[in-house]
Amino acid sequence: MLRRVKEVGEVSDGSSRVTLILAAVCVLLQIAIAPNMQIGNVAPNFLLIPVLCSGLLEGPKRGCVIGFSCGLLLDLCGTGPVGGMALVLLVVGFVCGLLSQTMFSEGWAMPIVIICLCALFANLAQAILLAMIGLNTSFLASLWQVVLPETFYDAVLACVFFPLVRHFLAPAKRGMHNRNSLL
Amino acid sequence: MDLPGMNKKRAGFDWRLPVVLLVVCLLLLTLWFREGSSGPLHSVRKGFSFVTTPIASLGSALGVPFVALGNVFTNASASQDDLTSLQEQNAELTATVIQLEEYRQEVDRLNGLLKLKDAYHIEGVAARVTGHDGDSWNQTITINKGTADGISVGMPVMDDKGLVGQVETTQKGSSTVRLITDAQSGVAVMIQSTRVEGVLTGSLDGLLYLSYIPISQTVAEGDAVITSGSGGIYPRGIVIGEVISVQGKSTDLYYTIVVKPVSSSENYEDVLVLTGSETEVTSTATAATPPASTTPASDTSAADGDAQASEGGGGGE
Repeated sequence: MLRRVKEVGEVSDGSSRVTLILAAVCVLLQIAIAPNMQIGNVAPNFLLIPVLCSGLLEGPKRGCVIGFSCGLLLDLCGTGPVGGMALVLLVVGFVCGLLSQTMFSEGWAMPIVIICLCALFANLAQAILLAMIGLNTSFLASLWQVVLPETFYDAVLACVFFPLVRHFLAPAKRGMHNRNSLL
Repeated sequence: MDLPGMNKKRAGFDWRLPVVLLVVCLLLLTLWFREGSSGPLHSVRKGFSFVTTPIASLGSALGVPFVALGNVFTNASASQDDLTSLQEQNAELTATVIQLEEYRQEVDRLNGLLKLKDAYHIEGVAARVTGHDGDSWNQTITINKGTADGISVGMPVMDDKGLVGQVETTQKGSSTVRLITDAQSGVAVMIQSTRVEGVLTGSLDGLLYLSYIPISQTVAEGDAVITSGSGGIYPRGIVIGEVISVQGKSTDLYYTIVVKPVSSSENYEDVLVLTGSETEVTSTATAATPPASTTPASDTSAADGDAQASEGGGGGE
């Protein structure tokens, strides 16, 4: 029974709350602050942060759910086709979760590598998707002008937020573990 | 104690949820492209935009001090004379003067737009820019006027210097304008001096590229570029920018021309949405401030129709 609870309840209520608060904060940052943080023509994608954090800390299932939700919000905020970023971030959250399950360690190096890889993948996938539907006509130029700078920007932000989220998620996970032990 | 289904879960990851979400995404994308601009997804986005516009406006207002902070770092590289001069000037300023200066600049901008309307004989609605797109792939701005003020999709937008873009979506009290520098924008234009027509497209680097100018024509750096009126979206004669680079070999069919826009999206504060049905703007005064070599067009004898002009933004819709 205990195993069942641990497996099905991949994420505790506490960590869900932390992730939802993080997602809500990032939505507000994306709408209000991101336009003012443009460097050149590159603006950060704050909604990548909860996706990467939930993927890294809570697994692929939770990562893809948060990725889909954040992507859909990003689609509604932007001017591109609705469903595009939801698709991209869904895959990113899932891949991030899978990578963390197979490569994750308690140190700092591996999460940072995963964050950078997933940020690159997210921006590259977005560029490919936009090229496929005809909205990114200069794909090669966009690699240098948008994909790489935004990857750097997003990865730096995610690396700043990740320790904070891990700090807040740890007690929530411990709480879940203790509750399961009582069962 | 094992429960039914437990072995299955142990054996591998449960793929059902990711697959379901993936299918939902593909369905949303399909529905988005198949439905019209008044479809349910477009309506949901409009509603969402209506809700988030005040938040974006608040963010823009809160961002002003940070922009000023950025300017401080930029100014750190100024010469000592400049710094001394600026320090003396700053010493004379008080909070009241700063406030009055802000009002004065606002009046100047609005006067500029009014003069623009008079000078070009155009009908328009002045609007304030309340936000910029927070996405690297799209260059759009949000303005505080919408359908309630007579604004509709497709209307051209200009500021006191020249063409800014085109209204892409409208809500009751706000609208989204796709800038001409956006990679999905295209404007039918002509070189003012030679009247040769071409198509101006935006790019991700913020510059404008002028296409379909035959190599047999003469184009020089500094030539002014204005709207040609072909396509019927933008009136003829609105100033757009000036040629900063011309490349082409004798074996090429067309030139590769780079145009620098006269208006910069970083400086957009107040804009004018052209609500009239003018096909041409004519100048009777020099209210606008185009580049030195540029004057608002009044030539009606230009040959039309030769360029492969197409106007309007892709917009993905």
